[in-house]
Amino acid sequence: MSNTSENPKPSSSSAKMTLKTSDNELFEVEEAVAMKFCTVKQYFEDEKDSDVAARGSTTVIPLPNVHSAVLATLISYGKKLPQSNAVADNHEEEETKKKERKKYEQGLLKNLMPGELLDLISAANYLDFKEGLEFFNQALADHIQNKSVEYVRKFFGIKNDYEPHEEEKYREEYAWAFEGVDED
Amino acid sequence: MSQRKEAQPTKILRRRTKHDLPEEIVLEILARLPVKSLLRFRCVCKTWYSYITNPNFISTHLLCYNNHDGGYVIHMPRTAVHMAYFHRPHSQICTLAFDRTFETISEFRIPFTFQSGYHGLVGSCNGILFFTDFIKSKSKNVYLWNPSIRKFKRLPNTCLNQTQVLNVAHGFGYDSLNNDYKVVRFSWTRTKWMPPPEVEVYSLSSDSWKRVELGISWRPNVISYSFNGISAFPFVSGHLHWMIEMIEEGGGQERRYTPMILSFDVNSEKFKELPVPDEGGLIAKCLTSYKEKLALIKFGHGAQPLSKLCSIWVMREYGVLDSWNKLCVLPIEISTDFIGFTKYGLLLVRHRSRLVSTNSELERKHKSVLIDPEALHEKEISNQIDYHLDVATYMENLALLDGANVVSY
Repeated sequence: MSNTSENPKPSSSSAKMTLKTSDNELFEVEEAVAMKFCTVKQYFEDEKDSDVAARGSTTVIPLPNVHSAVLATLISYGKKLPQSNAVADNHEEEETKKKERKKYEQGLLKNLMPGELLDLISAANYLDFKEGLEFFNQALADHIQNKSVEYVRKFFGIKNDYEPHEEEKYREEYAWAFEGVDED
Repeated sequence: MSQRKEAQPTKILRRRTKHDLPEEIVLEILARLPVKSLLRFRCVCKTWYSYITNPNFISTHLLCYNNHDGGYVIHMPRTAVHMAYFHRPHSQICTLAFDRTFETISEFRIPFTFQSGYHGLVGSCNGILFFTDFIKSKSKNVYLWNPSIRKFKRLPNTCLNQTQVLNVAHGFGYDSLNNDYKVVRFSWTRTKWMPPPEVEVYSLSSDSWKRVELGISWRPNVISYSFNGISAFPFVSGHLHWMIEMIEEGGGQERRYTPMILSFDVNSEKFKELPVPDEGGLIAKCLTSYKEKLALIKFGHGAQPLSKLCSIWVMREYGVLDSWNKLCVLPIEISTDFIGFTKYGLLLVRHRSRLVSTNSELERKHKSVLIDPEALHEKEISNQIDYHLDVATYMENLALLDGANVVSY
């Protein structure tokens, strides 16, 4: 079965790819999902130019910067995204799918520790996974939105490089912005 | 750090190794935060301070943060002429509400006052509100107000050498090429509208006014112009617009009434005329914006007595006469006032009071409704808004953060 001359149709083929994480775990992923990771897509397309893909053997794509648990979550999220090749749904089907996705997203976020968000964002950035990056960036923004300055510093591992009087000045300037903030 | 895969394979421990997110990711996250958080997070460290106060970030944040499904509006009671005439006290309270339902979220006060005691909301741009004294002869003070960061600024005085200004008109828009906000002011020193007004432009980045040329040749037969005061100055495609009505003298005793749209390119600071679509019997009255396109509201007589026809036209392709497209025709009662379009295209109108007999008593009933012009569907606003409203789109915007003469409250 040769894919070199035709455009692969992800919906009909069950082409899978194997991704190898930093802790040496192997993940078999459907091509349609893996292609959402643009870094993987690029690697795959580069490989296609050589003879490897033409032979139809499964290539193992190494992802030395991504841990297995993180990849698992990203793949799971990628699977839930509307597939680019999907047949256009009517309005009702679209609405149902949207609701399902929302529910899945809420469930996903509930089970995540805030620190894991940083790992997910880092990995999504490395993989160039746009939808994942957008989703987790928003999740992180939502998480820190009402947090104190001290919390944010600790969370991101940022050192305070202000003199006390400088910081005091900035705090006074917008005192109202410091009201109603979550307790640390 | 070792991983206990057997116990909970999907959870990982937050590793304390180097996990600095690249700058562009941090900026993307910051762009999704409301201004209150951003003002606070300036204190996190000096780098974050420079991110948050950077003008490019401010314009990115404006687009990114305010781009969600639900929008917000600020509304307040509009100053009416009779109010000022009878020295009625005027509320300084503004209400923040949901765009689609006008359900109230919170209230706050206008943080500055005018000499006459009556404010006039002239318009807004990117969430910054523009106010003048309702009685323009009382004071020349004009204010820019950003309610999302609680800052306002009184603009410096005019650069024109004017002895007696009898009337002014304004426009307020955003120059996206230079990331600058600009105010246009027309001033007339005579009661008649001839000669043409003097024009000056204020730029926030330079914090100063400068004179500009109108550059339009008024038509020779025109005996009077008036700037239509009903609508504000729609800001569309980088241009500000005003509706001008001209009365031209034809041959003999004929007088011809012609509407014209004056447009101002905020970036190049040049004026132009735009064509008005022709529709027999209906008079162009109100210029506004509908879903970021220029819109024109025309009125004419309806089939029934005491009914009006109102047609709404939209310029689909900016500047192209042929692209004026009639969106809909609304039959409305003669006692209906238009307030304006929300950002998402719902039209707010107010049906003025009619005497209604309830329980053998006469009552005045007002109602404000939101109309969807595409679906021609009307929805009454639940909270009793018994008065004329000024409405502006609310946006979270860090503009006016710094600068001369900016006051915090």
